[in-house]
Amino acid sequence: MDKARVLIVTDDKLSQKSLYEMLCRSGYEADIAVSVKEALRHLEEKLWHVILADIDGPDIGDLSSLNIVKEKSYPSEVVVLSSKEDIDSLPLNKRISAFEYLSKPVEDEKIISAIERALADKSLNTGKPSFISRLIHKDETYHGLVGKSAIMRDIYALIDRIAPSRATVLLRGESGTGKRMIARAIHKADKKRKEKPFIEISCGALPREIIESELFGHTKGAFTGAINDRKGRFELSHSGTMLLDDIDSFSLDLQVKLLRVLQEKEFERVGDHKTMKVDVRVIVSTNQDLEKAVSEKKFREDLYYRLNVISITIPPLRKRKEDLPFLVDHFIGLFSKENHKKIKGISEDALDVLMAYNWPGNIRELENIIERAVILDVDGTLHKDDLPEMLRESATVITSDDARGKIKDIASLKDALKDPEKVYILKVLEETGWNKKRAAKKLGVNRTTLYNKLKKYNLISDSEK
Amino acid sequence: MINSKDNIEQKKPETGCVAKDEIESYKRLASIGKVSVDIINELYSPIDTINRFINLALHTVGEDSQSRQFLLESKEGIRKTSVLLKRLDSYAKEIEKEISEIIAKNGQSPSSHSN
Repeated sequence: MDKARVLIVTDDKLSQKSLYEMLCRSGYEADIAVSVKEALRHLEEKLWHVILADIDGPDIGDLSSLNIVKEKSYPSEVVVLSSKEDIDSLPLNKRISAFEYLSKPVEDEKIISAIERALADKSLNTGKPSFISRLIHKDETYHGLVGKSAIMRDIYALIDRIAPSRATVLLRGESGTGKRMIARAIHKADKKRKEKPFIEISCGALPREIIESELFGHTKGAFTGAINDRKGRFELSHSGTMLLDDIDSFSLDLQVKLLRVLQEKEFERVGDHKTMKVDVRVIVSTNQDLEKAVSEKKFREDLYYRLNVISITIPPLRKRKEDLPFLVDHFIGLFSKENHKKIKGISEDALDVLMAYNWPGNIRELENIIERAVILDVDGTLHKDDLPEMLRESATVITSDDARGKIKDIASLKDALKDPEKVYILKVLEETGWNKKRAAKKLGVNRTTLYNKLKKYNLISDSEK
Repeated sequence: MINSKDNIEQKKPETGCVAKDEIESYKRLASIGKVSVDIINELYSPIDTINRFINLALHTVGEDSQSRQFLLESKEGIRKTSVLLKRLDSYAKEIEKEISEIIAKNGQSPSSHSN
């Protein structure tokens, strides 16, 4: 992929040098214009994606000339650096139509973030057909994503905008909301990368030593058990996309290494000094509060800014119930085919039960429930009886008297929910012979979440005692 | 700095009207306030650049080297300086605004002493 081009405009020599070095190190092609006049010459000669203008110098010239970028529809965006805190305090000849104003002193990560957002935003004007036009047909999905709610359409629009850029994407959302599917959709929507590998790694499920070797690879003899050279996931996903799931579980030293890959696109295999170059779009996901982790010094602030260039929050299923019938149809089709069954659809009362449920396990839970129902179905239509008892019960109206009878000495809602959750997890673990992978699948949560819950409830099998 | 603001508060009469010689003093203070804000703004640029050079230098030193520690301490020093300047900046702006208001209330142009 070609490097994005950033033209630095400033008459301050120290600013020129520091910005130039920082941008080159961060993987951009950079050049310097010492005045607005020179910048305009550069723009005539070559395409510059972003103009980074440090407007404090006295000899920079009339900055309003840079408005030509907008007036003549240059495919560029202007990011302004200034010592002044607000635009209003600038003299008139320094007020320009900019993508973003950054007031000094500004961290490098914020400059990179502004540049990446500007690059992502420019990809809006690529003349591609609107995503909405692709959703007109009832059964159409957006790169495998099902749902037509307003909240999802906003997400599709955002994916359309960001896919052609190489911006890092941070996916947030509860467990089971489909962060992995969103990551795949971003990969598929990127014309340059869609035919290249899409590699994912669940960071929370692997010990630290294994993650490092998995990500960066290792050489023979690097550690006990390293009997051969092995490529890491970064190498394997070269030219493609990599999803790092549960990024919050990254150790601080691995965070440094990841930051280097993101900034300089280079790394070394474990046990090797040879530096390798890689071109990977990195998508990370988490269901934790990363800002809190940053404030608690568990997550590096510089990495957080680098990852949080584009952030997508995926809504829980309970907040997009209008998509539930489409999802049900989708999963019925999928599992009917898989199980060689001919299922016509779902009965109204069964759909009512599904609509009434709160879906704590989100889409993953719905997927498992439909799979179960498809397998159990005998007459070609999914009925209420094909759904788990737990769901049918939750849809039953409970009177306040019933509730009062059931709830006696419970201090809080949190405490009230603990016991049923523990009992249900234990039940599923016993059903699956304590196979955590299968149990997690059945519960509609990922393995990291299950391990966290086992720890929380101190649940261990007889053989582990 | 806080003492000088308190002095202004004490000198400001309730009606907002002040004597001519006091107006001249306020104009001089407004002028000093403006110069202070300009100097503070001028300082942001070298601070910004130094910080960026420290970041670049951090890329070139080993994870456990003593130089890294020195650079990180320099970075912290720059951060503290930056925080102090921001506080001074907002204080100077506040004073400048307040004095300009007093001068304006007395029908004078606050810019006559400004650079």
